[in-house]
Amino acid sequence: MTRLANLFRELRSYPSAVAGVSVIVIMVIIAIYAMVTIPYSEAVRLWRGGDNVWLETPRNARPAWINNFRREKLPESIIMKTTEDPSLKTVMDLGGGLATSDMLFEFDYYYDAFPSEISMFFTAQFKSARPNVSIKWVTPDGREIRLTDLTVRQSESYRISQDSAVSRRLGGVLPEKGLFADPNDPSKVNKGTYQVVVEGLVFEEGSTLDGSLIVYGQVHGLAGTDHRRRDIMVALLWGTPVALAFGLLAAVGSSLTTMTLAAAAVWFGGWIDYAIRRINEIVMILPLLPILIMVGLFYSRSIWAILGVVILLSIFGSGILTYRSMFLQVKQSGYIEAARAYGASNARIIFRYMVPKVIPVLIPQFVAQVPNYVFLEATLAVLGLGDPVLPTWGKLLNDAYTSGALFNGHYYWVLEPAFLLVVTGLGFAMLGFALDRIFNPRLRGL
Amino acid sequence: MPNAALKGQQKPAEERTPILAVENLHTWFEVRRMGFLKAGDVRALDGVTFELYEGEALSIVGESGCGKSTLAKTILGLHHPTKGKIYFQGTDVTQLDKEQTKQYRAKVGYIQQDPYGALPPFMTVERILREPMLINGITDKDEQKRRIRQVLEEVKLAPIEDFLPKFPHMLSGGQQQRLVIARAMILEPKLLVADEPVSMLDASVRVEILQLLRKIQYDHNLAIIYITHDLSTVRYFSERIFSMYGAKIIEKASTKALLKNPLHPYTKALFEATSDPDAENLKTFKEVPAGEPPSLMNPPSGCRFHPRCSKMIPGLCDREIPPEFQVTDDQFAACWLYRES
Repeated sequence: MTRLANLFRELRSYPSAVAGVSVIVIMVIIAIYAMVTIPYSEAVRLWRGGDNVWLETPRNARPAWINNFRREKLPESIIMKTTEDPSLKTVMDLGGGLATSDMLFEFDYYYDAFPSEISMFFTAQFKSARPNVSIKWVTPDGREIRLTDLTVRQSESYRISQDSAVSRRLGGVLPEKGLFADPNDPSKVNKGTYQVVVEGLVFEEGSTLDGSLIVYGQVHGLAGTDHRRRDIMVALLWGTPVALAFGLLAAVGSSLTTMTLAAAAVWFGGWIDYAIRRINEIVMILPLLPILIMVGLFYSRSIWAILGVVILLSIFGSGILTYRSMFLQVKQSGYIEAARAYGASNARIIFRYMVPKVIPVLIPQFVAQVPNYVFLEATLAVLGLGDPVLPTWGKLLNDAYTSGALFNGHYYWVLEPAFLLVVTGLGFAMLGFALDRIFNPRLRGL
Repeated sequence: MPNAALKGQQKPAEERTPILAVENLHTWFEVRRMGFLKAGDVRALDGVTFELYEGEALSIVGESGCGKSTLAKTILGLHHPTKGKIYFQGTDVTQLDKEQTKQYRAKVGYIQQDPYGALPPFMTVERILREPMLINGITDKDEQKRRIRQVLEEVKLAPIEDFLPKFPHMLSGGQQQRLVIARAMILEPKLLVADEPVSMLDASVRVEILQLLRKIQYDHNLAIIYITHDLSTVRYFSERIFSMYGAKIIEKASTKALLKNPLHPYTKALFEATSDPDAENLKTFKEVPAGEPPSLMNPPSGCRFHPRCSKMIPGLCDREIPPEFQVTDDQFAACWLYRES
């Protein structure tokens, strides 16, 4: 324990180590937060659920904080629901089962840009006669624009933006532009209070009608949304534990196995040493990425299968030779001889006497290796070999790439996961370098 | 002097039982050329025979490379003998299976030359002492504590609680060697093999450590093999002294007899080379044999010392290997000079 405390005391004297540790701690906190607030099944449902999960978010929206840096403010989504705010709805019984169910959605719109979409959703309860609605748009300057008349099924959506009749009535412009445009200058937004008036009529006793209006903005949340309306934040959050777990497991798995193999080779010597060295030479020249691509294509794209292959292939490499040379020295130590003299078994000598001696050398290398594996996972995902269910940073980049994010100007979509990848890599690298200096005092002067 | 205390206890040799009997022991190391071609053998031990009795301290002296350490390690089972037998309490330990070897090793303690190297740097004192017990099936916590307490008291590492959480690098050289002795004693062995236990220590603590070893030996009636190249320390220690040269034992004698009158020319030369703080040394000339220790791959024919020996008998020493001649009651020498006796 005192050694650990000493290590931390020493780490504090390296600013880069402090920065690296802070980054890693923040990452771990984010990872825990993500896993607690969004359970695994929920994350998969959110990411794979499709359009029904993301009814209320705009498509390809930028992060909301972008407005702080713009003179022209981009709109946020306006969501009004009669189920949540019953005052929007007035019900009047006309007798004989007939009743009006009028709704008035009134909202202020002072943004400088047009919304990205406008939709209305209705839900109704009835036995056989479907309720009727007629919808009207009232602009701040008092113009009334009739939108449509609908008979409502149990669940009905009316996408105003896609209603070509409205578009025609507005003179051929898109409804989300035409409905908000200044009559004098159609390129500008007519700022003020808008109303959507819905006159509903139900025909049965006990029949109800509820509606909601969503004016989709151009910005959403902290991270924005992608081409399928998904909140990118979900993938950024869930990508953190996935990246950390992948990086750490791959680094721990491969370096510990490498060390154990090297120790076994040295301890047993003879043909075991020979075999391990020859296998190592063969595996060293196998290309990692093409093999991973083949595994992804023909076997499984599960992140755990890929992790297994990565560990298997990373065990071998120059590391095994480096450790071997260290162990050759350790093998001659008096304490190993003493351990044999009091009857220690081969396994005990390898794991309790040889490996612990080399672990201090391993730790900095191991920490510096973590980002390699984080990047590898992202690389595979960008190549389309990411895990099919889990949202990860690499998959975000892959989605952004395939839907032409940069071409369409959706920079945030690429920059956010890239930023997290770089920061993670930087955090581990800075800690690794500092640890290297602590464990290898010769580097301190540099 | 502990020696004085011992003299009364010593029984005649024929009444005592040998705890260790080594018969015609050979340990050869194969030397290869290009990884697979056999180039020859290094004959590190070439026909060593002796007996060690219960409670006896035996010193083995000789220069570097004469096979002293190989003898120790072969007895410990760290090297496998090429030929010959080692009987420990009557059983041949060169033919044991894995489990029996483990039991044998528990009965033999090992004290190494470099105390710092002999202690795993990443283990605490407590862990170091617990390891042999864990390996040899002493898992009861109270028993472990009792033994740790006992051995640390015996080697005078006190207060015990202060030492238990320490790492080897926090101890002084003398304390480290005490810990090594404690570790060797924790399995309550019958035989201790001490391979130059004090040669890496400060002169100031050497005698202390040797007296400690001697005391432990009396208290437990231990047999000790004490290997050294430092003749100035053997007088503190042993009942018998063996002198080794070129992978063979060339002289066996009681300490008293050997210190008074070494027989073999090599042993004589070895004693000549001992540095005593005596001003008279300035005026005397010491005869030190010229030349180098023999190659153990191609040892000289006949007596291995003959190329350096001033009393070499031509035609005999360089042809025939000298057998062991008994010169007095307690002194044997493998030298043709004593062929008459």
